[in-house]
Amino acid sequence: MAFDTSDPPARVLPVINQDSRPFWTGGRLGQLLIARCDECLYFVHPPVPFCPRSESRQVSPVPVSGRGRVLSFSINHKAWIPGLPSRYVLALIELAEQPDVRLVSNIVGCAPEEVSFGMEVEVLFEQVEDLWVPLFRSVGQ
Amino acid sequence: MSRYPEKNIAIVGIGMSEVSRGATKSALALTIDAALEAIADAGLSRAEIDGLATWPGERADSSGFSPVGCAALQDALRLKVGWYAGGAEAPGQYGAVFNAIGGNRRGVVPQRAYLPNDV
Repeated sequence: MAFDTSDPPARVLPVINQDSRPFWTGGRLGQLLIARCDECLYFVHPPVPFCPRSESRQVSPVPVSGRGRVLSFSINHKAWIPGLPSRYVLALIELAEQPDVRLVSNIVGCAPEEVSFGMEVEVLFEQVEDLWVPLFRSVGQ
Repeated sequence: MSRYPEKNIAIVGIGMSEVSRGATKSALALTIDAALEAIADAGLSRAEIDGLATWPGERADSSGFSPVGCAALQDALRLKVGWYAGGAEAPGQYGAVFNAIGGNRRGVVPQRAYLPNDV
């Protein structure tokens, strides 16, 4: 997986904890880590040590393919804070491994007009301070 | 049935997480512990819970005071709630209790005696 080397937009970073650390730092090794139930293998996202299917309290971070598709998106036109690009895409992405694992992220590497519903995407990571933010681009970009 | 709502409502289950300084579990994990214990203590299942009330709701800062609100707990436990309240302007923790009385549902009221600092 490549790293986005264009000018990064301003990013407000989350406060992470032991449950979410793998998701926000897996990109250091190019991995998108999603918590998965040790018992029934159901993916649990946002990550939390509780599986709503088996009720197991054991979940572990697992690297996924990084592939998914755009469920929905909007194009933001206003630069709300300094450093934000004048237009950017905010998308809801459904991961290939399990349809109810949905990530909110940006679609980068293409013009906003090129983003479409159902578009196949793959993850890339942008390092910001001590976190690796998962972003998505069209497959084959 | 009394015309006073609080007289028609009962606490039927109680749960409590471990309490410590610098817990190894996240705040949400601790909240899940307490909520599941309360639901089990009441002889209910998650599917039978249809309300959720908390105070003061999620504070997404790193103070550790109240990092978990209704949305995070509802999602983690996959609760199907028809009513929920997590507002801050209320008489402290009792606000969640009174909101729950007003909601008149079979619900969970997460309270916390102490929150660990999330690392």
